[in-house]
Amino acid sequence: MKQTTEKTELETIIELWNKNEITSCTMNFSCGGDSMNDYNFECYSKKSKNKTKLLENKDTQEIIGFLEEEVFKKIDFYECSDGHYIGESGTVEITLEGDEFDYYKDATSEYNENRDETMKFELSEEEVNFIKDYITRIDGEEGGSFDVTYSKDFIMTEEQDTLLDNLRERLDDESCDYSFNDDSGECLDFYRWTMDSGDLNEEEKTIDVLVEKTFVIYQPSEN
Amino acid sequence: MKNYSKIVIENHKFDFNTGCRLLKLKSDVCPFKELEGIWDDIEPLTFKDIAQFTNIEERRIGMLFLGLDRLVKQVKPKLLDTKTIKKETTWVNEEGELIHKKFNDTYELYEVSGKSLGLDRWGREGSSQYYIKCKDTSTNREYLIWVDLRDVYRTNNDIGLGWDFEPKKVDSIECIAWTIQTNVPEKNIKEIIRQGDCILIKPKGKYEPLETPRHLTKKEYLELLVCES
Repeated sequence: MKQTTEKTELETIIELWNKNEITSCTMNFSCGGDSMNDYNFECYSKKSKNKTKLLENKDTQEIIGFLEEEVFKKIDFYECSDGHYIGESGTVEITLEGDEFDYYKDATSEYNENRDETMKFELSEEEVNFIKDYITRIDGEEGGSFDVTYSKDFIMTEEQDTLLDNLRERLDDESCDYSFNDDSGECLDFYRWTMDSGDLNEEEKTIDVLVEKTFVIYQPSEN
Repeated sequence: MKNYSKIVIENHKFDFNTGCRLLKLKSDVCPFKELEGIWDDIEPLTFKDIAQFTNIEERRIGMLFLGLDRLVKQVKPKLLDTKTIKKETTWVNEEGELIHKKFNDTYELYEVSGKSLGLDRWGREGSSQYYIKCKDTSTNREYLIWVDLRDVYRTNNDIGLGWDFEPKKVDSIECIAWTIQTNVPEKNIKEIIRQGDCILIKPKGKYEPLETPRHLTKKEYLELLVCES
């Protein structure tokens, strides 16, 4: 009686892999924002130097179909973003080791880090007096929007109106240009600043301004 | 006089003239020396003026200074309907004990002629506006809430565009119910609890939240409101 042994799917794929002399497969991916973004597979073969033709090959398609399912069982992809972690991108290198596939992830994770530092801001005599008499706080951010909290009701002269406009503009410009002492990573364009009258130094004619910026940090992903 | 450009009132910058009129509305006593020379000539803002403010913060400050008593005197409202609901609810007293409270809750619906407001609706001059007057049962504060009477009628009568609408067909309870909106469909509300203007709705059964919130009906307000404070 002839006995037949049914091949497993893995065995079939390995057979196709060897038949086409494939050396490795690479999955290019990126993920984040709570989802897996587009990804693709590339295969490399001793037999065929033409990557496109190799991909169109029916056998290769079958191999990729199998690996596409397996890779998500073997590798952790960190899709879920929060205010700090953004996502990751890189490759998964797939090779055949004996009678099983080996998966190796080589990726970079992206993090947002909010930092703030205090900037010493110089004032004129008039600005010192205006802040002392009428201002509690001014908040501003990239794009030019700002919010003034006055310390009391008062009648504003045209000169004071102009002084306030100029002060706000200067605060915004200097906050935008301010270089952080800790400037590791990539500094994004967005910034915020806060000037509180409680931080006024009348003698030195300066005021401390809190500047906030966001930096993007790249780190090797966990496997 | 110096070149005054603005007046800062309640943390908001008003143009000089509006600021002066707003200060006069707030009090007869001149608050700034700089205005003493012109104070007697300043006309305080009226509700008509405040209603024209496009800036919501300016309207808020204007209404704050005007107050409800003066608003009512200026708009000369006409009482259209009044209803009192006898209510029973449970409160937590200062000692932290649960007490049963019975009280009467009165709602009054008023009409204000568009002419006295200086407002127009749909391009027609002088169309009437309506408000409901009610009391916060825990603080005794009175509130006036503007209502769209035609929409109140549509909400309670399920009729297309309310083609047979007339103000006398709407009552004050329909109006107060209308001031509450929800995304829970009709027949899916089990209970309503009210804490002042904070409304909690307990749904029942499976339902798809409405994309556009709807107004409560009088029937729902009367039958499903189980507790309030």
